[in-house]
Amino acid sequence: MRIECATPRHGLAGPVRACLAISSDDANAPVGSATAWMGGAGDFESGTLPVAIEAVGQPASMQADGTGKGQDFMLEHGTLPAEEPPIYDTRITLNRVTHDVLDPMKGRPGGWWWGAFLAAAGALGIGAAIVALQLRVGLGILGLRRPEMWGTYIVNFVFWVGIGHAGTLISAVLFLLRQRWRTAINRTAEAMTIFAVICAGMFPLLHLGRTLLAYWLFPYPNDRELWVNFNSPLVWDVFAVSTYFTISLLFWYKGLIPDFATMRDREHRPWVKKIYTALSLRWEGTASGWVHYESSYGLFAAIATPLVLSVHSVVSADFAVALVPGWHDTIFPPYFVAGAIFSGFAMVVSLLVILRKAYHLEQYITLDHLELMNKIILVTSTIVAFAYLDEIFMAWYSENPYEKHIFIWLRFVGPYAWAGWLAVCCNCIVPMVFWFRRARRSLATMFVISLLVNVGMWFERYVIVVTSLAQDFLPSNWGYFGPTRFDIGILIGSFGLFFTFFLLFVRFMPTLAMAEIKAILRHPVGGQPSLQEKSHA
Amino acid sequence: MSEPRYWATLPEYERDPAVARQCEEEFVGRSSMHVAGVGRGHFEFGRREFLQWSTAALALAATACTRKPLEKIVPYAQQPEETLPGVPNSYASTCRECPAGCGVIVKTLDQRPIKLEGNPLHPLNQGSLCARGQAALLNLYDPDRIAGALRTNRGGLHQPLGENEADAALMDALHRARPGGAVLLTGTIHGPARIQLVAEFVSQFGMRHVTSDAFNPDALTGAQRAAYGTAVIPRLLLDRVEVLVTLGADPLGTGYSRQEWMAGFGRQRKLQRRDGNLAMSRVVAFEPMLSLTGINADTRHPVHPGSLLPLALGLAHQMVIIDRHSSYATDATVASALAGFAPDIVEKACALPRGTIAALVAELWAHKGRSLVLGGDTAAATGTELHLQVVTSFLNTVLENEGATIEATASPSQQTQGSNAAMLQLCDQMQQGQIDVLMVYGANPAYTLPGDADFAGATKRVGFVASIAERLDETGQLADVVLPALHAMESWGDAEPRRGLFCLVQPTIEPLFKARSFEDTLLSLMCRNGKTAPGIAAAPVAKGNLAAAAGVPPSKAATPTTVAVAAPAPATFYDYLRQVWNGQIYATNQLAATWDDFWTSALRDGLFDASQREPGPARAFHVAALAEATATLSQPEPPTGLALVLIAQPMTGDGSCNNNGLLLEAPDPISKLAWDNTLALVPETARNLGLNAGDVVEIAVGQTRVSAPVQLQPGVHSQVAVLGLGWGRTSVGTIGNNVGVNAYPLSRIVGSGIVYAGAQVKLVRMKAGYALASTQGHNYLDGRPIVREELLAGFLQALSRPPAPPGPPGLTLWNNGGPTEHMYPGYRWGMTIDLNACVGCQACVVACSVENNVPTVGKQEVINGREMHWLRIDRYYSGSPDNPDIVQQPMLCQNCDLAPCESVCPVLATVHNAEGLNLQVYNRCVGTRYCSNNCPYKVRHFNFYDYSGAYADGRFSALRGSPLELALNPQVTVRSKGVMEKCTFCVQRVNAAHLQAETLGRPISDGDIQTACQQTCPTQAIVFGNLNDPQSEVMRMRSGDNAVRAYRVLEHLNTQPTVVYLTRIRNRPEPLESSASPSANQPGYAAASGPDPEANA
Repeated sequence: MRIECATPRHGLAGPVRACLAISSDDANAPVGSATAWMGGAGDFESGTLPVAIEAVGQPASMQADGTGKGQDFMLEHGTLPAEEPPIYDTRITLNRVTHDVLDPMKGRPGGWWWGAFLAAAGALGIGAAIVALQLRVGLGILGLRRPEMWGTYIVNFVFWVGIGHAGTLISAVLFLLRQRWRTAINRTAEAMTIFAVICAGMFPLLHLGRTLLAYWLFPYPNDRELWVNFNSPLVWDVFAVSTYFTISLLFWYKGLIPDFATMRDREHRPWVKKIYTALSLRWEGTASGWVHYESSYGLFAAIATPLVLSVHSVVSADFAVALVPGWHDTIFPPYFVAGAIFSGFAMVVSLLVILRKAYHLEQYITLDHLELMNKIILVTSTIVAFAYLDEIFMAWYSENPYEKHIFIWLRFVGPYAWAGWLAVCCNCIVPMVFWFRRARRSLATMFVISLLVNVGMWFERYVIVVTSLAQDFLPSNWGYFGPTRFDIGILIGSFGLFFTFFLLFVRFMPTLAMAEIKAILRHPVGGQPSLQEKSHA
Repeated sequence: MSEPRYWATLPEYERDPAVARQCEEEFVGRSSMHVAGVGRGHFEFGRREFLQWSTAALALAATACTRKPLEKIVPYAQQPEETLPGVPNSYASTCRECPAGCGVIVKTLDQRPIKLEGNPLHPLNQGSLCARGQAALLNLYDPDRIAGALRTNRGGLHQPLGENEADAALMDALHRARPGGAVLLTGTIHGPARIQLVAEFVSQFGMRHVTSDAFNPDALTGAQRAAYGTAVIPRLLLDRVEVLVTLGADPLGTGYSRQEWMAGFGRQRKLQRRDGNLAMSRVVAFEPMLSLTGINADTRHPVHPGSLLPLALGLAHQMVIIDRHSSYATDATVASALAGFAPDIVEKACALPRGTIAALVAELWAHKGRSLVLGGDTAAATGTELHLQVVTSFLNTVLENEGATIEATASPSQQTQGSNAAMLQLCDQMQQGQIDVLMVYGANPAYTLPGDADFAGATKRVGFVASIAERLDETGQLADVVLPALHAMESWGDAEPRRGLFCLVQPTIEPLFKARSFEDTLLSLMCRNGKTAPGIAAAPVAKGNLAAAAGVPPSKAATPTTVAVAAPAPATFYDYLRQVWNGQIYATNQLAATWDDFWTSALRDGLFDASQREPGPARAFHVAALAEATATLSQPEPPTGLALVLIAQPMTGDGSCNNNGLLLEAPDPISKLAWDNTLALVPETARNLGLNAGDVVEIAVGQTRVSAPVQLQPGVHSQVAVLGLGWGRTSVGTIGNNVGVNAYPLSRIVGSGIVYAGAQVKLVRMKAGYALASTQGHNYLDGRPIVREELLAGFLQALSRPPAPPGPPGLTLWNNGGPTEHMYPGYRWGMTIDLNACVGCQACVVACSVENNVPTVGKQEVINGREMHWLRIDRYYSGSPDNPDIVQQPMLCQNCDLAPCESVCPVLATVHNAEGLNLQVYNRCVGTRYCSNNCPYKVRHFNFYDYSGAYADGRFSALRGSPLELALNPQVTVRSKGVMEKCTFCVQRVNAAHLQAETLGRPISDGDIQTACQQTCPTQAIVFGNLNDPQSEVMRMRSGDNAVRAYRVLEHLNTQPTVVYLTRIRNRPEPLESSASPSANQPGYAAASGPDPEANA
């Protein structure tokens, strides 16, 4: 077993002790790497590297902290198996990761950031003003009407919940599936999830007629013995969305802890340092800390994975449980989950294409990664297309006039045909371009397609929510939903909220999961290049 | 022995001086004045600071926030008689919204009227009340009524005037008037005391009395005079009519006694055993527009207004000349009069299928004495309407309906008495400067007269114009003095809608504004005049000889038979009324009861009925009238050009009640449009003219031009454009001003009559995109079995077949049959609605709104699809748009047993009760609106804004602080913004019945609870009751012969509604036309259980 010294941290005073990487010395090939921290923690980049050992072909069994034995779970997080090709450029050093990720946050934000931030905050302001007006005056300012009691708010709710799917899917499901390329995108995706779920979570509350009484949706003990109706999918929603948000937030925060510690260590300004110290929960990067971190990360992933499926299934139950033709549909849960992944990945692609350019993260968020994302978009697009066809077929095959009217006539022939065809084009036809490798690897193409996918997915929800209600059983009730300028403002406001959060995130938090990337960096045989080497490269 | 020294800490034991010092202090750990705050490491708080802070907090609490304004309940110092707080009192009275004279029960709570209901004892309306009667409550509380007399300069300047000054001014003018130069112009007035008072007043001042309503029966009375020798208004006995043929007439929509007629019509429309066979009446309508009667007809033919008279003559020709029915077949005069109107010629000219007339005549003849041919109304007012009335009278005489279904001798109607001829003559006299004083009450000629009449110009040549009215109307704007009048619910009065039926009007609330009733104004003027005390000729006065009565000096009138002899001269109309009733009714009817008992019972019942129900003997028809009618007529020719037809609409009538949001928002039964009148064109004609719905066109008749929006109305004759009258008021109030367009100016004076129909019209498209407030989204059923319809023959066949076995019961969420199943051990409420009987008059819609405080939302919100009517009437077409069949369906909360709304409400705001009601708990509702989405009937309504005005956010605050607030029913929660609401079968009435039954110690019996809609329904199409009681009306209606007709809407969804509809039966020999809508080929979705009428048809 060879023990070599990793690059010590630069730029901070204090004794440089040792940072060790362990590799097998017999085959001259690295079996894995581990960093043992000697001496006081905090002197080193405590977020740098987890104790992650992996043996080829068998679970590693190594006393990581001197006490533990056989920490199998460690396998799941980090290191790259030897037979897999490296995910990142092998010349990237641990230190460089830190610099690449954190340096763009230094100093004053650039003009593009301010521009984007002001635009987003302005949009948020528009939305907030409309919400304030609506709370005061009533929901009448929106385009809601008698057959269509749900409109923009619920469309936005489902849309944003869908967007919020990608993050947890990437962090949890891909983690469990050992898709290590996820480390490039998981932080952004998770952040996106949090913000999207915040956006989504607001809408069901704001769309209430009496928003201030929203807490009545929670089963809390009260002396009037009032209780909620557990038959109602809206109560399921309350639990599904709040659970999902809680888990996603904790999961995200969990991943941020080592990176916060790194930031804390790099920070000079005392009050900022205090903040990062608090955020990092005094993370010291001790081996035992890593052990617990790793085990809990796996646990979170295991908890979060079913939530990915449950939350949108429950949201789809809002519709599927109802007896409205166009809603009452058993295909909804899988169809919604697929659609959510579809739109979520598209949103991640849109964001990453911009982010990697703005923050010069091309080495981390590589075209390979984006291509993998696009493949997922392609797969989910076909699932969504299948669901569309299935709905139409079932409506036709059932000979149910109400279903036929909605699924076939109203959505593709009648007054809402524009929305139906828009959804079909954007969701089923445009992503087929991704069958071509060139398209999958073209930044411009994927950016446009990912935007179109989200336009399409918004309209898919519009079609589901609005058209089904528009012309249901009794023809006398039929109506046409006309969004008012306030409906549009609410949509703009929700994007404003999302991007305000997102821009603050890219400004104040590490946009890449540094610790996780560092764990799977692979260095050429003979050790990783020194910083000097790299700087010459 | 020394005491032990106690110590707590080691420093104390060691007698540390710091500890000793601490012991001296009152509060350990602080010096005397310590400032709490920063830098000390911990927060400390002194006594004074505490006091300072708490004072400040108290001050802030007192100033920073304000409580909701306190509303204190002041207990009665003295309990008013007959009043229990929270317990409603009801008083019988008579509705005066129109002159029909229907009886009402005014329900008052804490001395304020909160609801009007029909008086079940009243022989005309028999417990029902029309939409306008229901909405009258808002007219009472209308804040736009004038509060006192006004002086105007005829130019819009209005100054308040004292009552005395106003009287003096009027008196002065009356005294200065030339003989015969003073005119009292009123609408129809009946009732012995009112008639007598007017007669006395008129004679005392040497005035002339002219009666004119917006729509006057000149043609009818003229034809009666010509045909039978007396100018009476006949009474129609529609409850005996088995075949009804209308020629332009709309007895159900706008007839002068439509409540009475609807009741009779409904009775005949219900399937009943007649000579052992199931039967119902047959209705055939020929009309240029779609009327309420027309949409209820079994067979309807759109005809040009000019074709109505030839058509009537064709019927007569077929009946008398060809079929040689009746003795008139041999009458030479008749033969020559009818010679030119052979059915084939008429059918060709009217574009009717060949054989229509012969078939119809055969049907009529088969039901002679039990049929009725009605012509008339404004749709026939082409200038020949008098002839039409003569011919229909002839037909009825031939058919022996005269004296059977038409009654004019025993107790004829007095419900409409105006005369266009008299009114136009008055206008002429005004123009010529012959009129010095014009007093107007109950009429609004400035609004209702044709443009040609130039009433406004004529008033300029009148010395003094006084208007006595509840509001400053268009005529009042032209007056010198406007005197306020009272609403019927604030004043005493009487009515005699048909001869011998005496009705009382009694006040149920103190006058809301400082005003005086019309009658008291007359009395006051007579007192002021001082010539004779307005007293009373209490002697038995021959009815119809009122002018003589007025001239009789009081002393002579004193006869021993009257109790009122000794009474002093009445100071108020109440006394006057009592005296007249005493003298004219009590004394002449030889009653056993004392006067006081008689008065009390009349007041309690609201009426004293001495009229004859059975028709009097038939009158002889003067055939000369028929000859006269056809003398100037030539052969019928097919019409050319586009004719304008002006019609009254059921909701607004003549427009006199247009400041009433309930009426303006209740959609027109035919067009389903609210808040507008429109120029209705059949789609094909509109297409040919290049017009679309929502285009605004200029309608030019002669020199008169009016702009109105276009609406596509299936069923209108292709050469006819229809426009509703009674809209476009300019001086009625804030709600009704400038709503719709005024079509009266488009009517024309021809001879001594007013022509409403048939004028050639030119349409010029002005602009497009006028938003129409339609309450119905789609007008065709597209093959969906929502409203089931069957031909009578098919239904009778189905009756003989065994009913289809019921399908398997649907599963429920509620543990089928288990402990959580809905069981309904006691009562179980439900409703049965007979689609045959429902005529679509919308009275139930308005009644429901009044009873349940359903807000009016205004035109824009109706356009936005947010009208709140808990109960609505869906109207669907089938067949060709040129002449569609129409079905209607009252749609309200179905109170499903497995209510889809209940299972999805997250907060249990909508729940089922043990009696099967699907309740809505407004307090608990947070407004997710999921219930509405999941309701297949979409009968739930959401308060998108603060419609009730409770928070006065500016948009809907009209209610707050205005007298309109008093119209709210305190027994029903006023819903706030963000809350869902819906019909709960008038749960407040159910609860009241429970309380009452408990008090009386008996179960609730059938009929104890009447929902508001049921109560007011003129045809008793809606019946509510206990489904657990097989003997209840609601169960009997859906069993027996009707069991095959009973169905539930969307039964296949397994919502298990408690509302059962009875299939509409169309009494027509030819088959139903198939639906012409685009998706007509879709087969109906067969219900899982129950009979499928389509399979049987």
